[in-house]
Amino acid sequence: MLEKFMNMDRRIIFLLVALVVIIPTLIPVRLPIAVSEPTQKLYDYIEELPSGSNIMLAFDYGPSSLAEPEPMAKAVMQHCFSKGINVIGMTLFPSTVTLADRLMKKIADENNAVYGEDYVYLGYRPGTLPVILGMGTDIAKVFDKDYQDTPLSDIPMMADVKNYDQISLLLDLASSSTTETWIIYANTKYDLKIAAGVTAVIIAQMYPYLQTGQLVGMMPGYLGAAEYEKLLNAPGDGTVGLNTASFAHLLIIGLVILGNIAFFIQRRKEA
Amino acid sequence: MEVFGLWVAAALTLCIYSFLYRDNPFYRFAEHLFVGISVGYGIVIAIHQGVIPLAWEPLSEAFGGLWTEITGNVTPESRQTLWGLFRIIPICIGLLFFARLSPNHTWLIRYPIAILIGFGAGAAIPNVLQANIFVQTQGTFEPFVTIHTADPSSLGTWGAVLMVIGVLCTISYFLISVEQRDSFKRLSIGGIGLGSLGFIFLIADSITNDGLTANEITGFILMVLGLLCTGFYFVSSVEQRNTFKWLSIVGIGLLIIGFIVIYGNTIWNGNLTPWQLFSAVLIVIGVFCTLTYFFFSVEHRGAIQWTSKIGIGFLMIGFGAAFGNTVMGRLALMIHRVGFLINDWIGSIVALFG
Repeated sequence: MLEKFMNMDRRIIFLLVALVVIIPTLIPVRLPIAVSEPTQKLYDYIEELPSGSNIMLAFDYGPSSLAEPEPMAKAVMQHCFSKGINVIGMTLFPSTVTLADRLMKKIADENNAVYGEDYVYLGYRPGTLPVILGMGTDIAKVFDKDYQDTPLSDIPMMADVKNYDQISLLLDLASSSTTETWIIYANTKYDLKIAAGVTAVIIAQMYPYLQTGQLVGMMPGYLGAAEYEKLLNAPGDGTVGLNTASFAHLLIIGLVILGNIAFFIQRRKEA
Repeated sequence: MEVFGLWVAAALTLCIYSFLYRDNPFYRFAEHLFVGISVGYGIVIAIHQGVIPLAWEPLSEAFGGLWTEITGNVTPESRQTLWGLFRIIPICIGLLFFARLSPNHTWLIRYPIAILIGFGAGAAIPNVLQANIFVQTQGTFEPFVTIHTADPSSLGTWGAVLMVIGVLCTISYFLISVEQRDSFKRLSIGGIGLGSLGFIFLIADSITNDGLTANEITGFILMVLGLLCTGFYFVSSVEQRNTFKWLSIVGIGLLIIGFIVIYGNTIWNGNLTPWQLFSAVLIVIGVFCTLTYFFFSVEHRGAIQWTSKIGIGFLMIGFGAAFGNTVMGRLALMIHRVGFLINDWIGSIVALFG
């Protein structure tokens, strides 16, 4: 029995994981969500910004990891539009150019935001470092036109935005180490306030920056999106994803415990 | 068209997940398609968002301006566009990357690489040091700094100066590009001594400025003794270390006890809650122990062995947290895809027939 369990076909585990993901997707269950400090800090920071402030959203994730950052972007943009905060979108990833454009348009339409007045999408320029450093002196020198090829000087919202001095916060929606790059160059050199909405894979490496205040707040993966949606009282994709993920986590924790028990029993038998 | 895209996306998702059963042609087809499309898409975006706006358009405008200049119809705008001609320099440097394709001219690639590395290093070094070392170190000790309320006296200033000299002397010991003579070794030992003296001055300054209590005097004496014991252990020879193994343990112990005696009460009554205090102390211990694990200049025996073992523990907890989060991230990807298949794809089929 024990030997059978230890040599179990891994496809059975895949099947179990598939079941615990599919069933809650078909039959949605609402689990209680407690807001953690990093998400609360980000929410409070945006909440305290006056109307007319500018927030920059960096869509620094690829198509293969959009599951977590997209609900975060939706929640934060919804919050910004409701408070009259302008949103400037851009990306350091070439593969995200059209994804970010489509997402911004969709969220803006849902919130009746007007392009050029409430939000702008700058698109992508190659070279991470020159882009981050260049925008610190003059955004128009890096992005002379927006993604729709309109010169920045013709966009009403950008009339008073020259560089990071007019940006109240940069929120990096990241699936890799771009948040660290933003901290190292934009925060250290230009004192730009940075927040992060990161995929679960890189949450652990972001905590030291939170402790030092180099990050004003953080949304950790699905959890962060769900927490932000709770703060806005507008459950969305993050809440649905987190509820489903909770069941899958329970299964994995159970399997880890079972695997360890079986391992120790087997080792004792062999001894 | 949108429905067609939905079906293609659903079919490719299923092809990718079919790998969970076993490797198969459908999976390989989807994998190769993904890689090919990613590269192709990346190149197109790089041309449209990089080459055209940053190189092609300014250059064409500049040559247009140059032609205007030649034909004599000069306007302020046409003159302004001439600045675009300077872009020829970075464009030519960038084109040198293609020298890799010609075996006889491969050496030319060194120039753009050297410029890139030079720019990268120049931009990175001061900012990385500031963001990842200075601010992080400051953050580690920040919870304890709040107790230093008064401005430093001359004692504190001297302490700070001595610590800076000590740090410089100690760093010089690690300057391995220069031949290490005896004078360098003396310099490093002197540096540690000066740094320790400076530290004592700073603590003494902190205590005298805030007023001396019996606890603080006791703690201060214990910390000085601890520093002396630890310092003696590190400057002693290998034979002496074997004889006085206990010295480092006693030294670190005295330092910790002295620190608790001095600051424990102050922190407890200050702004830190017990949990924050625990976290702050834990971070300091974790940083110290983990750094000790990576400190290979001293043999890991005795107290150092135990300290580095605790460091491994901290590392393992860190890796465990990272791994747990990775599992969470991968599940998020699956949940997103399952949501797409059930809500969007199957939903569209149901809507079509229902």
